[in-house]
Amino acid sequence: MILWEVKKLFKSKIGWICLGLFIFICGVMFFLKPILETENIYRNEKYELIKDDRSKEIIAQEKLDQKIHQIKEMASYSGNDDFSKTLKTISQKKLKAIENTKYEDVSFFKVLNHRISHPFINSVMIIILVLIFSNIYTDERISGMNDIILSSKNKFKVLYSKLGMAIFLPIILYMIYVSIAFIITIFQYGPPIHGQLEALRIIDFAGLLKEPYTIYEYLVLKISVMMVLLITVSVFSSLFSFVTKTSLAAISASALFIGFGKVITLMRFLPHSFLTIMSTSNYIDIMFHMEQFIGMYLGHVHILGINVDRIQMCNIFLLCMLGIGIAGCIFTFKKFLTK
Amino acid sequence: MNILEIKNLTKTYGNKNANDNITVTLENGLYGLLGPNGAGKTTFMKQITTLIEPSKGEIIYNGKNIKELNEEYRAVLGYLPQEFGVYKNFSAQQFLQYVAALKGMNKKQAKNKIKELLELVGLYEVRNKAVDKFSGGMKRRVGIAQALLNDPKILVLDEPTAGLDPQERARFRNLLSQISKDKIIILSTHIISDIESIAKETIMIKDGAMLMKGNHKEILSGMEGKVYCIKTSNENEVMEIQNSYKVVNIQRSIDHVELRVVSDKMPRYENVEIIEPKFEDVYMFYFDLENTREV
Ligand SMILES: Nc1ncnc2c1ncn2[C@@H]1O[C@H](COP(=O)(O)OP(=O)(O)OP(=O)(O)O)[C@@H](O)[C@H]1O
Ligand SMILES: [Mg+2]
Repeated sequence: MILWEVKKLFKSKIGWICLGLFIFICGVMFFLKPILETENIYRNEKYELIKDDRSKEIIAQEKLDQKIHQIKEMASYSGNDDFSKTLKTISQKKLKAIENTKYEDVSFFKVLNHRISHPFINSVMIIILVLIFSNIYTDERISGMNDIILSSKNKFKVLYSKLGMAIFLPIILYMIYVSIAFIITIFQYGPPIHGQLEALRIIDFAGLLKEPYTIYEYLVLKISVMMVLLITVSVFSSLFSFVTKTSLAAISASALFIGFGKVITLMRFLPHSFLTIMSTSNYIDIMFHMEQFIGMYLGHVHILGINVDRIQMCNIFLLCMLGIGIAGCIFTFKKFLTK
Repeated sequence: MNILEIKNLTKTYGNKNANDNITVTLENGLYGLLGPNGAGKTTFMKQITTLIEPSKGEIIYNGKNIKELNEEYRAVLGYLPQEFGVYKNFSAQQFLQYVAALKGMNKKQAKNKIKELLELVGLYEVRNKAVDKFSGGMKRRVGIAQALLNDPKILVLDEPTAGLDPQERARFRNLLSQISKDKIIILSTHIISDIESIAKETIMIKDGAMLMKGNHKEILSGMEGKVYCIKTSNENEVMEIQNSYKVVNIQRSIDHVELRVVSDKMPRYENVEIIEPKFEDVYMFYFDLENTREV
């Protein structure tokens, strides 16, 4: 049945619009580029663009030295609060893992890392998924096929293949995107080498990295989080499609769902610990500041008498929401659609 | 065995009973479901097709509750909804292929059956045209074909003849009477002639409750002595009769007017005659609606 779902998608306008958008972001990706480790470009106080003209190796080595220096400082820091103590331990762990302090070419991974979670790309990707999945059942209602599906032998196969689509399409779409990014980046910045080196070489907030991840590990972690995020959005959009009557309602509900967490963080009157959790565990911030979430240490929050790592909390939040979304869909299939 | 027992079926929306304690047992044959707009026909059918759950009561198929039978029950179901629609950009053939997949048919089985049905509903020539560009009547024929795909044991048709031309309607009637031997067919309509000749029994629903159920003869015998023909040449009288009686039909000739009237009591006019009841009188007698006599 899943093949029929794909067929239906490509017989609808939405399918083609989304394909267009997807090709568009693949094109845009061409031009996305972070400031490389080998470059030093910044704006001074007068907002003039300053470009460092020294040789690439020198700049890159200087940047790496700075990062390591920063970690060393953290490792010998003598603060007494939980945050400083934890930072101290993780910094020591990271220092131990560094084998070589010489700069190696990591441009490929620096750029790939930038491209696979760029806020613009993430936003368009989410728009694509919301468009597709907000219509996944609404379309059946509009074309008057819902009653025929629900009274047919394979009713549950159809419904579960819709849910299956919501889970697998984001994975496939994102994997295609990452693959294209991989290939294009090879052409532009050379082969993927030195991926076994420390992840801190390609990220800007090296000091806050929680574990001594290698570049590979870091990217896998990031891709996984991205996927969970995209799947969750698809699953909830589908859920809204199943329970609302029009695609406009389903799309609005999806938008609300994505923005809701962020809106809560603006409600200053809520308890501080709750706000702290929400400031990391909301889709907007995760989507737009991916770098600050993946594998980072952002301190602990006291809640209900226990001490929880904020990023851990965020990961738990992401997985729970996914679980809730899937459970919601299944409940809808079993109870709601034939109320 | 092919027996559908409906017991105390009640569906409540808010504080209104769309179906009110309907109990009826259906066996092979065609059942006509008759009732005015909002009587609860669609609600009744949607419960039989598992689209909505009854608020009270149960439906038993061959001794088992249809809720427990689940997929097994849906496998023997064919359904044409009142608001039948199709996907855009699907040809008639593709559309039926999809429905065949919904019904769990294998490809080869489906292919033959689709060809057979397309020919049966007279759409084989246009099988590769987009269904959403079809005329209303043609769409309905696609709808009839899809309901028949899996050779259903229980065929539920919600106003299947709406929008069909008289010729197509006649063909459809013949088709139904042919296949109704080994099936339970439930057909709702406002058009008496659709079921007059082919229904084994007619079920009348009013305000959600079952008014009566019986075959042609039984229903007509209840009408004996309640149908009158009034002849008059006075136009004022015509107006008066129309206001105070249920008039089934008015026939005007050059010098007089004949009114066919249903009533419990004999109307007091000069030229009144008891006449033989016909099926169309039944609807008027019980429901009092204008559109009973669409051809
Ligand atoms: N989902 C719903 N919510 C609330 N009321 C409903 C719902 N569906 C049906 N009803 C009400 O139940 C009653 C029966 O409706 P139903 O559609 O079964 O009538 P019907 O006999 O099929 O009429 P028609 O000949 O117009 O198709 C109506 O009064 C209708 O307003
Ligand atoms: Mg109806």
